[in-house]
Amino acid sequence: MTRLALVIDLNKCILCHACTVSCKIHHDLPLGQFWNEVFTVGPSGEFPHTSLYGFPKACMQCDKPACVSVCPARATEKDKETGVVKIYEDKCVGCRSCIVACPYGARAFDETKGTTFKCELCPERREQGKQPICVETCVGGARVFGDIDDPNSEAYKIVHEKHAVRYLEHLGTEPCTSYVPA
Amino acid sequence: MIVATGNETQASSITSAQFNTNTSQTRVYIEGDEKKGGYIASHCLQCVSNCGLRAFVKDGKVRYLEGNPLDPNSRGRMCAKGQAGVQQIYDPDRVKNPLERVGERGSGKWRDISWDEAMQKISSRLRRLRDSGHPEQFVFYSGRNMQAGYTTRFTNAFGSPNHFNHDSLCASGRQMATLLTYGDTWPQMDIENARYVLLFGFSAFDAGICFVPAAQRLVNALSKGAKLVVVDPRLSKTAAKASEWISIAPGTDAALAMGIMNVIVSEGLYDREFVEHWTVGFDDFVEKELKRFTPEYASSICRVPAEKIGELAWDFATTRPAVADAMRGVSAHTNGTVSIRAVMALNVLLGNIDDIGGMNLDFGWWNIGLGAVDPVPPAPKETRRLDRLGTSQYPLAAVPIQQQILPSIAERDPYPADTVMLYHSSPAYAMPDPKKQMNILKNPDKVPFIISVDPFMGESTTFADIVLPEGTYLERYDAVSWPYSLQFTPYVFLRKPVVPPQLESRMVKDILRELAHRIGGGMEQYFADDAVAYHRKEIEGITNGPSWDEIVKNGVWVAPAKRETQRFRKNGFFTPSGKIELYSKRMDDAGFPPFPTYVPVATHDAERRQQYPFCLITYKVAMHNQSRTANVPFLVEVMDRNYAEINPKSAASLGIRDGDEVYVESEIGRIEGVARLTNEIRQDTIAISHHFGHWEYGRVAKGRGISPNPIVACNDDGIGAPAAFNSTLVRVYKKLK
Amino acid sequence: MKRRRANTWDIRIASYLFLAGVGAGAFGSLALLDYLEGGKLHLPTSITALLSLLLIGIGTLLLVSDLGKPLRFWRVLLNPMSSMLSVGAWILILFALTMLGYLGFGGPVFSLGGVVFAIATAGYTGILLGVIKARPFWNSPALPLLFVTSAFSTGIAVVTVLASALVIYGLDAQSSHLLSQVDLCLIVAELAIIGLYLTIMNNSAAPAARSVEMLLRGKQANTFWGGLIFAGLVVPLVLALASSEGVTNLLSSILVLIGGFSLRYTFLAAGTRALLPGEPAEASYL
Repeated sequence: MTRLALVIDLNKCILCHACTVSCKIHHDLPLGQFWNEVFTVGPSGEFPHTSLYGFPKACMQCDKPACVSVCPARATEKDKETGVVKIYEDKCVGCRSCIVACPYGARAFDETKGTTFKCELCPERREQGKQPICVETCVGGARVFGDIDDPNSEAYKIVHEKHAVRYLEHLGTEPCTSYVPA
Repeated sequence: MIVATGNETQASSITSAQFNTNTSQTRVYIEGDEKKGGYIASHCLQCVSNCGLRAFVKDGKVRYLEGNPLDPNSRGRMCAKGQAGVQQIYDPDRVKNPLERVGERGSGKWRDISWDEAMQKISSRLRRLRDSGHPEQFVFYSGRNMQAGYTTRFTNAFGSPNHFNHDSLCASGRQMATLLTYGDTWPQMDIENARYVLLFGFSAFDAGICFVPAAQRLVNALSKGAKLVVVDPRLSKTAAKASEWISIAPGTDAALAMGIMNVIVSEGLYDREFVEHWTVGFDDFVEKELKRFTPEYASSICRVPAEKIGELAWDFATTRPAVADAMRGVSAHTNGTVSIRAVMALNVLLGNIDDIGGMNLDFGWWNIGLGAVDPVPPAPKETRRLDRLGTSQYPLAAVPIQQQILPSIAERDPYPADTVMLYHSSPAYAMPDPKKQMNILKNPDKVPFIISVDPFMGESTTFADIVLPEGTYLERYDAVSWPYSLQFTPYVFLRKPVVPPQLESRMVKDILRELAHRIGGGMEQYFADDAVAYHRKEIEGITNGPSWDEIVKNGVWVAPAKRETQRFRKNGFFTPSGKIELYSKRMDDAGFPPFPTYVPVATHDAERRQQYPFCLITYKVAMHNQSRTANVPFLVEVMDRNYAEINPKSAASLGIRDGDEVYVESEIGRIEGVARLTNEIRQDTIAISHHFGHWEYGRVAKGRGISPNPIVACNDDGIGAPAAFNSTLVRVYKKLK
Repeated sequence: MKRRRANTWDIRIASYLFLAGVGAGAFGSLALLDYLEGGKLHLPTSITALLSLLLIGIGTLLLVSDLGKPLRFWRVLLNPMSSMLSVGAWILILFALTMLGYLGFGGPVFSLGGVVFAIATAGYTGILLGVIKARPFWNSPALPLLFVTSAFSTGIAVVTVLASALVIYGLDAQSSHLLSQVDLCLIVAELAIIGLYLTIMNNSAAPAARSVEMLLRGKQANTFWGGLIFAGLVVPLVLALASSEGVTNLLSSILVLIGGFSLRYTFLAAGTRALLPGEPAEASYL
């Protein structure tokens, strides 16, 4: 099976926010809406033992997506071919159940369009054989995109060699996006 | 083809439209086409890094930008500022058409005028000035315009030596220090191959001359196991990623560097062969300066424990390759140049100069020249300038001293100015003590005529008599041979308009060319070519260079040259002695410290500290550039304001809580901001970032956050003359409701 | 440029949850009492069925108008088993049809059917939230129970209010007294459930404890304490103990309705999710 996802190395994130802004420009997102964001973890600890790092939040492209099971219009699904959690804009009724249900806050409602959107790992770029824009532009090279089921992919190697972790697994969402801990 | 002769009647037949370079001939698509949409190569200029980009253009509109993987320096990556460049092209707050002032200077009352009227007015004034025999009274007051070849061509043809850039606001202390020490203005670390990187006041993850190129290489080095030590009073993003953060007292970096060198030399850890053959004055340096900087003595100044200094020295000297560098954090002090010489000396002791993983030189080494565009105007007869450079006040400075331009104009020192053309520069906002600058700008007796070429209504532009709207960096041409490749092979790039200049804006090259033709009197002969023809000659004139079509399409051309290291072994260094000058005769002769050493910050004296207990430091972030992105909505979204940052313990002693409104006050004034309590900062230091505190520039920018500049006193070290943005002492107190 | 929270479920959804509850509770409580009392009382069930229909209708309109694409609401009905929301939509329709049936034909089938669907309607609003695992504060079988209790309590209250205002509503003194006695029990039950609910949640997952904090001391504290506990439960309780006559009864019922709305509003708003590293707490609010 193919499961496209991101592996994000927190050691390489320099908190430059290029991923967030590139995504917003590429997808012409309105103000206040984000498909990916970088959280600043910290500063924690007392001076001079202060630490701080970035946590780039992305859609987790879950295998058991909480957003899909609450959709009353069957407008969102886990794509069988790619493993990407997709939204069909023409089917979405804009009830925002999925936004409430997503444990990662990965979805956003576009008020002018009346429907919900999320990161689908830049299908228009993948068609051209390119990487998602956030991956391509990531200054620190923290974001790696690939098929996490393909042992030859860089993503697979990082997931396994660097012991990437997944977040909020206890909710049973089986997220595909994983993180190399800082 | 217009042939103007300077004759009034012929000149009046000129129209502005004739001088607009046709940009369609260079809008060549790498992929796709105009109808379906496609990619056009150009280069970013949000900051100095000049990263290669590809703009996706559809229906005549830029939709997004992405990195150009052909660029050997940025390697296809772009930061948030670069990505957001689209929002500057289509910023609704852009100046739409030429404006003429109708009210008092700075009153904000304007009249729309046509380009023809504006150019007629400006050219007749400049023609009169030139005919009167005082062309030097024209001042081209510029910033990092990346087309100095062309703009200097204009001032030279006009006859004025007063073409200035912003270097003294940047890191001219580093430029001067490396020039004096290595004979090179902008050496670059081979950061990707270093195994130990020691940075002083240098946040490679926030800014720098090669931000995106250096940041990605430093990350690579770190993931290969390199050790990174960052010396900074504030936990920069780089310090946060470092193996170790040395939270040094502001302005004392040189003491630490000297302490480290003291250990390296006394333990015999330095490269004897290199020091013996390639340096001047080593023994005297050790005897007269280094000896007294024992770890204990250095520690008493910089507050880094003596054991730690010893540990750093051992690690630094025994890990190869290792490299040390310093940037604006050290440079922008009243001891900037001398302090950076101390940091640069660290590299000398390791003998890592121009080597893999070391400090690599550029100037005069491999920077490939662009072709000349003949005829080239002669240098102006008048050599005295309006920035005090070369006077007894600045005997050594090698780059323009921007903070002195308006003051010397006001004092008519050495002569008055008639017309100032502002371009890519904003003295009313971006300078220490901007009020002083503003008062001069405001006064028509001091500055009779001001022209501002600016896409936005910037703070300084509000004082202009005529405003000429320029296109943004994505609407203009520049051909640049870029010497700061971190791959250490030469390359050339062509910035070009990805869309024609928007609204009624024009490129500055077209503006200057038209002025040259309207002024006439021989000036026009230097401006026969429009921007495309001009750059084509530059590109085609490169020895074994690219074809014009190739660089137009790809945006960049990398010379087929292999990296060379230790080139000094063939040619020596470009210093007077041909060696690295630990002893600088030029410094000695000018009465400055001849050896790298620590000199206390002039303004950090005990008496002042009584009244003003905090050092104010200023910094940049990765999401904004100098003063130009505060109106970009998506960048404001990721960082929407700045704060007066204070250590929680210091704040507690002052009764300040997080989010309180506070005054930060120095000897020259006070600003009002919001306190942010954070352990990212020392207890004796206050940090305020740049980028915010605009009172003009657009609806998003206006009134957002604070600028530290109004309380930064205008000082410098008199050597490289870096404006001392980090040397001001302040006090902080709560605003009473 | 202040960062906005994700546009999710706001006061419109809280109003819908409330109206669906009141509507279901009004007919449900009266029909149930009528059945339990063996028809001895002359409870105004028919006009209440009309009232329920009206309240459910308004609630549904609110729900549809809250959709980003209201004209696509039929997609929700076409995919009945896709989600709790679709199931709920059908329960609403079935409840409405039962009300129409009762109004047209009367009789115990529609009456008892009405009671069943009333409980389903009120209960489903709790299940709708309860199935959302991301927000642990809602993940309790006690939530539907609480919402059903509140639905019946507010249902009685709305009948009392309307009957006081409109003579034609036809609620006699005896029935009115009985209703207020029942409501008194429901209020006590509700207080007990809320107390237990918060105690359990406070000791469960971190986000749920954060929700409790939000209700007791945080962002929702004013509405929780003022609207729900004090105005909506404690004062009506005291009033009901003091007297069940006229104005007191009316005032008490109005307060119960305020309490019912506050319950939906605060419990909805307090449903926060777990935070990712560095995520600001506001990002998890509804």
